[in-house]
Amino acid sequence: MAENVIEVSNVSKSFGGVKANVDITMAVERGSITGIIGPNGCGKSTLFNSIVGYHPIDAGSIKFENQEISHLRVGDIARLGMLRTFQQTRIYSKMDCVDNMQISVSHRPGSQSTMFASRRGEIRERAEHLLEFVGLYSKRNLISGDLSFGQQKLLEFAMALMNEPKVLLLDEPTAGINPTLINGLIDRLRRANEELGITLCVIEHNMRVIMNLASHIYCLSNGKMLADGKPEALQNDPRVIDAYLGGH
Amino acid sequence: MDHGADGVHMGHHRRPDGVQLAGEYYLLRRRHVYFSRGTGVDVLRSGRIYGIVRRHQASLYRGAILHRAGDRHHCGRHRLRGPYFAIGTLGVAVAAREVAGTIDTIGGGAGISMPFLPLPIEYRSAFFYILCFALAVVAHLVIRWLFSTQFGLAANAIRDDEDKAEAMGIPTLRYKQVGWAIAAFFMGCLGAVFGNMVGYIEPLEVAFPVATFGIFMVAMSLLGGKGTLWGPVLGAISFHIVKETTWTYLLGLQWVVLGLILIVNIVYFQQGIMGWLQAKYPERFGIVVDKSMTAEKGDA
Repeated sequence: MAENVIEVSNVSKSFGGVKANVDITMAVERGSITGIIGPNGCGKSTLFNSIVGYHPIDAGSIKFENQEISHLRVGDIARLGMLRTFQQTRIYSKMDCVDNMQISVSHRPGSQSTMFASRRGEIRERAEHLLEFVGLYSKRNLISGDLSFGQQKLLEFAMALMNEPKVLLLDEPTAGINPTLINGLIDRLRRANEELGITLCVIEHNMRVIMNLASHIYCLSNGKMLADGKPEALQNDPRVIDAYLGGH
Repeated sequence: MDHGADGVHMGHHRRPDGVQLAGEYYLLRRRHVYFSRGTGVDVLRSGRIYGIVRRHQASLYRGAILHRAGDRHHCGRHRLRGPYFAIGTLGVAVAAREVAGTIDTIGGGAGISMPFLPLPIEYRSAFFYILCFALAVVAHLVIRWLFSTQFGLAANAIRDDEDKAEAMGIPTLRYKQVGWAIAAFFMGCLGAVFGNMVGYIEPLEVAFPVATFGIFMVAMSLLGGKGTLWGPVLGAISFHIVKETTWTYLLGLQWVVLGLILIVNIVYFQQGIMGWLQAKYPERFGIVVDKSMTAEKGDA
């Protein structure tokens, strides 16, 4: 049995009177693709934010590779090897695509010497290779803010890959992009998982995407863990069907 | 919650990039070129320097002191972002002025008179002109090199989206500290020169001339184009052409004109001269524009 790379235990988070997450427990196996689904406002992104350190949790424990990380800041967690992408794409919009990629190299070694390193050949080569991987090679010299939304999503994904993360958390990677790009993105997510060995944890509303992509899915509703299991089991779970189709 | 969570925790901030650190010191005035950052502690600390050789040593020494100060004592302020960072910087400057006024070794609130340059008086202006200009060139070259390294990319990334940069593992605090420390180093060097050039310094009027240098450097940087290497240089030249013209032909209204220029600059010309030139002639600055992107955009 594969080890868990992320372990979330009894995590709760409230914003004033709003209980965004209540006693959430979940785990992500190393090398897997894990999905998180749930209706809008059910607390998926809050859970993501808690995991990557955007806000402190009220109760519970979050472990990354058996290390407690709930007290760490965003940058510290990222440098451990766990990155996230955003629902609303975030790139460095005034820089060109290659520069976006080059600054996304891993800062895990973290020495001051890398701070003043020249933009070395191998970094640029890898940047261009990954831009080719996501289909943006021809756009590599364009200012990233000029790309279409779907292309910016791909660029953000490539930037995450450039960082060589151990775990990548993707918040609705297919939201707002057309079906043609979605198919390509699914394929690239799979390849990143299989070829680069990156563990993926994906929040997704598109059921076709998540059911095809994930090996294990968690379903949240009203801030609580509603169900979890294999995609086929979850698809037929009346609680999940009810959460998506009824009452919301 | 999905959208809200991002909105709450990931507010989008923009800030000037590290080039602006370099930009904020350009001040061309007639035949003299000054560096000025306006914190003034460096200026105060530059007292009691004798002789040309000693001046150079002291400049580097003061620069080193401020370098360390920038590196070690501003962690709290560096966690501030956007306009709050600027306000924090001003607060530090005001606090430094008050502290400087209590240090007897640099003259306290009364300030100190500087020794005369051991050169014939006719060479005095030329000497300080060359010294300041050389320092400006060195600083410009250092910043130019700096922005050819990973540091430059990181500074631009922090400018574009600091939260994203942090989420990608960039140690933003350390980059900002180093950027500040490098800027402080040159400010310290120039402060030593400036103190000797003026001949008398004290904390209230000379070291912290907010109404003049403090505003001028911001105006020059904005006019030339923040976030660019040459913007502050162009801004300094343009600003002083306008300033000298208004001071000569509109005496009495010069501050009104300066205020108007600042307002027009901030409201209608935020990109500055270099920003405007880059937008107008992108290919001349190595910026690739895909004409088809206009049609593709929004067609995600």
